[in-house]
Amino acid sequence: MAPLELLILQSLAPGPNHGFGIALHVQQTSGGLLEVEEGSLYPALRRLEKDGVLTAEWCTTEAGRRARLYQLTPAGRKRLTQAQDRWAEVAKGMSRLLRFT
Amino acid sequence: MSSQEEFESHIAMRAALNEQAGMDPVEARRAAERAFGNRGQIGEAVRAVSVPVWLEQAGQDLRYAARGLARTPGFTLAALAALMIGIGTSTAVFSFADRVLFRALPYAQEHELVWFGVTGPLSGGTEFILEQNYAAWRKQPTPFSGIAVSSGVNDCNLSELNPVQLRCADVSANWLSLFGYHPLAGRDFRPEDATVGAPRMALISRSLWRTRFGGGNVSGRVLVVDGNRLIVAGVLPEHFELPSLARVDILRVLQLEENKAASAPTLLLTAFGRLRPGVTLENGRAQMEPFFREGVRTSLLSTVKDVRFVIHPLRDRQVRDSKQAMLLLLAAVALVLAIAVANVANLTLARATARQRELSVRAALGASKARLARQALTESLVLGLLSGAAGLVLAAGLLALFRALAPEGILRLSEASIDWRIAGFALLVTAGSSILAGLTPALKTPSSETLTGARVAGRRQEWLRPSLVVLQVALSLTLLCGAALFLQSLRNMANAPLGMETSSLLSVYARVPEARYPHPAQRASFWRSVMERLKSTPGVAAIGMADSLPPQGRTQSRVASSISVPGRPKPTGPAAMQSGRVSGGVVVRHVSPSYFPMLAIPLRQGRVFTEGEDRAIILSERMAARMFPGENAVGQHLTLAGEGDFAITAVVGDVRNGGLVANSDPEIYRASSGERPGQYILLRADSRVVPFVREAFRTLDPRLTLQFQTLDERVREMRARPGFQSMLLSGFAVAGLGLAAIGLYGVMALLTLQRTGEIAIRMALGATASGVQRMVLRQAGAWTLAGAALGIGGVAAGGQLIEGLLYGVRATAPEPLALAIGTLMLAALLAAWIPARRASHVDPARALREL
Repeated sequence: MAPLELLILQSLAPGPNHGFGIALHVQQTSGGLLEVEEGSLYPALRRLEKDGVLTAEWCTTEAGRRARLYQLTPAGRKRLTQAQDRWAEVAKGMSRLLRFT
Repeated sequence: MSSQEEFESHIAMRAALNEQAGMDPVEARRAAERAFGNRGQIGEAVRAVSVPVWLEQAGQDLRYAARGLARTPGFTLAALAALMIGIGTSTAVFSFADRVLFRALPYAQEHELVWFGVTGPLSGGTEFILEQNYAAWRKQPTPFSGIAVSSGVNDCNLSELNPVQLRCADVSANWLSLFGYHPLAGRDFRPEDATVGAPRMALISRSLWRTRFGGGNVSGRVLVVDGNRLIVAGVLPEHFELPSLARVDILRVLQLEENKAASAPTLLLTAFGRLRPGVTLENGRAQMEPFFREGVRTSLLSTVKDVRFVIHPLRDRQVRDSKQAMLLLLAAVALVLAIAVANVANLTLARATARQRELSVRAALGASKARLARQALTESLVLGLLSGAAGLVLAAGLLALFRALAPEGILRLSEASIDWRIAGFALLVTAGSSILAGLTPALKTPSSETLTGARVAGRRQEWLRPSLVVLQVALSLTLLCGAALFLQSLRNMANAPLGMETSSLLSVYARVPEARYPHPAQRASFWRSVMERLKSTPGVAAIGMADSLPPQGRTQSRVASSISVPGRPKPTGPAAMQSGRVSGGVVVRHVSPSYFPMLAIPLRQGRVFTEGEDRAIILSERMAARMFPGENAVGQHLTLAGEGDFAITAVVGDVRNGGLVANSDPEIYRASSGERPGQYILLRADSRVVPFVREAFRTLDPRLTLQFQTLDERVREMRARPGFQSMLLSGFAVAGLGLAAIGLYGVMALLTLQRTGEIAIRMALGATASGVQRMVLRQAGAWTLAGAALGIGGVAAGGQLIEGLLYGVRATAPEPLALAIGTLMLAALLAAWIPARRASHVDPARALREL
C-alpha cells in the first residue's frame, strides 16, 4: 500500500469528498507538510475505484458547484484499517532505524 | 470527457479559494490552473489505469505491425495486391455462383419438389408427360401429394391500341399452391377454372399489374391476349418464378379435357411434383415406375422407342446446364486464391528470414516466443483485413463488370450482389489465408544464435520457399492452359462453317394470332400480302420467308423413323442403327424458293422448287446421304408418315441447325405456304428499312408486334455465352500468372539480397556480371521448370473435367499447352531478370565491407 493511497483513504474516512477536497484535507491536516499532486491523485483515485475500494458519483456541492464525490466502500474501510496498521509498523521500524544511526 | 469535467471543477474550487484569500479573479484562476498542471496528460494517465493489459499489448502489436509493414513497402504492396486479387475474384465469383448453386429457391419445402417426366431420344434431354398421363396420375395413388403441369412459356400479344409483346405460360390450376405461393392481390386459380368451357382466368405479374393497372384492384378485369378474353383473377407474388426461370407476365389456366382418347393429339406438358412427406427421391422413383409403365402402355408413348421415366430434384434439374460452367469458374478462382495464399506465405516467410535478427534482438531483450508469434499474427491479420476490405471493393467492381459484359440469359447474374454471407465468406478466406501465411514464420524459433549474424539464418527451411514457388508456377500453368483451351475453342466456334452467308440480311419475326386468323388459308393470304407489299419497299434487294431460321431456335422436327422411301422396307438392324437412320430427329423447314440464294446455300443437284409446289421437297446433303446412300436422290420420292409422298427436286449443302456447338441434324425443306402463324421474313437490306417494314405490317394488321434482328446478330448472340466464359477464365489466368510472377520476383529479389555477400565474394574472386546473372536465372529457371512439370500433371487431371465445355479441341491438345508454357516461361524470365540484373550490379568492395 503506497502512502498516497493511505492518504486518500484516510481523507475519506470522515465522509465523502471530492478530489480537491482530498488534496486540501491532506495539506491542511498535515499542517502543510504533505502535499498531493493532482497528476498522481486522479490516476490513484481511478485505480482505487477500479479495485472496488471507492465509489464515485456526480453531486452538487453546497456552493452550487458540480463535483465528483468519492466515498469509501466497506472494503475500503477494511483496507484503510490494514493500511493504518501497516503504516504504523513501517513508521515504528523507520524511527528505530533512524535512531540507531 | 468526464475526467476533464472533474478537473475543471477541481480548478474552479481552488480558484474560488484563492479569491477568498484576496487574489483578483483572473490571477486566482491562473494560479489554480498552474497548480493543477497539464490536464491532458493527467487525463491520459487516468485513462491508462482503466485499459486492460492485453488491450495495451494489442495496441502495441498494432503499432509494431503498422511500423513493420510501412518499413517494407515493396513487400506490403505485393502482399496486399496478391491477397486483394485472390479475395476479390473469389468473392465476386462466389457471389455469382452462390445465386446459381446454393441460394434458397423461393418455394415452400423446396426439397420435396421434383421435376419429372418421360424422356427419349427425340426430346433432347427435356422431360415431358402427355395430357393422358396427367389426367391419370392426378387421380392415382402416386408418391406425389400434388402434380402441377405447364405447357410452356410463349410469346403472346396484349392486343390493344398499343400492342405489347408479353410472355404467357399455361399452367394447371394448382400451380401456386404446389409451389407454396399466395397471390399478392385477388385470388388464386380454383379447380373449377380448369374445366373446359369455363371463362379463361389469368394471374398477372406484379410488374404488369403496376404498369397496366397502376397497382389497383384487378379482380375481374379483362385482358385481350392474342385475341382471346382473359379474366384477371389475381396478381403473382413478388418473388414468383417459374422453375425454368423463364420470364413470365401472364399465367393462364390450362383447360384440359378429362377423358381424352389414348390416340388423340395431346400437348406435351412439363410436370412438377411434390413428394409426400417422408418419401425419398429413390422411393418416389420406385413407386412411380408402375404408373409410368401403365402410362406408356395406354398412350401414344407406346409407339416411341427408348422412353425412360426420369425424376430430378428441382434444384438439380434447374442448374443442370450452368452447373458445369459454374463449377469450372469456382475451380479457376480457387486456383487463383491458392496462388495468392502461397504467394503471401512465401513473401512473409522471406521477409521473416530477413528480419530474423530483429526478432532475435527482441527475444534477447525478453520478449516471449508467444509474444513474438502473436505479433507476427497481428501483422498478417492487419494485412489480411486491409486486403480483405480492398478485395471487397474489387469484388463489387468485378461484379459490375461481369454484369456489364455478360450476354443476356446468364443464369441469375443480374441478381448477384455482394451480400453479408458472401462478405463473411471473404473474411473467412482473408483471415484463414493471412493466418496461414503469418503462422509459418511465427512458428520458427528465433534462436539467440542468429544474433551473432555468424550464420545465415533459416537454412533449414530452404526447401519450403522454393516449393511454394514451384506450387504457384504449377497452379498458374493449369489456369493458363485452361484459358488457352477456351480461347482455342472460342476461335474454332467463330470459324466453324455455318454453311450459309449471314451478312446484310435482316429478319423480321411476327406471329398472327390464330384466334383472329383461324383458317390456314387466311394466314397464307396474310403472309402473301406481306411479301407482296415488302417486295416493292425501297431498299429491299431480296425477300424470303421461312418458319424458322438456322443456326438455332425452335424448329419443327420429325422422328427419323417416320420418314421412309416408298416401296422400300424401313431400314432396320445394327447397320442402320449405326448410320443413324432410325434414331434421332430430322429438321423440317418451310421456306420460300428465294431462301436458298439469299443465304447462299449451295445447290448441289437438281432445281429449287417453285412457289406453291407443295408436293416437292429439298434434302440437305446429310439427309440425302442417309436415305439414299450411294444413289442420286433427285427424282426419287420420300414418304413423311401422315403427310404422304413428296418428290425430291434438289439436294443442297448442309447448314448448322443445332446451334454452334451441338451436331447438326439432317434437314428437309418444304415449300412455304404461309399457313403457319409465326413466320420469319428475310430481307436483304440494312436497318434503314425498318420503319417501312413496320408501316407495311401496320397497314395490313396494326395489332402485331414485330421482332427485328440481323442474321449476324443472331450468330453473334450464340457466341456470346462461350465468349463470356472464355473471357472470365482468361482474366483469371492472367491474374494467376501475374501473381505467380510477383511471387517469383519477390522471392528471387529477397534471395539475391540475402546472397549479396556471397555474390560479392564470387565477383571479387573473378566472377563476371553475366555469370552472376546466369546463376540467378538458372535457379529461377529450375524452379519454373519444376513447377511447369507439376502443372502438366494438373492439366492432365483437370482436362477431363472441362472436355465437355470445349468445342473442336481436345483437352489434351498440344498447342494450347505449348502456348501456356511459353507464356509462363516468358513471365518467369521477366520476374527473375530484374533481381538477376541487380545482383550483377553488386559492388564487391562495398558489399564485403557491410558483411
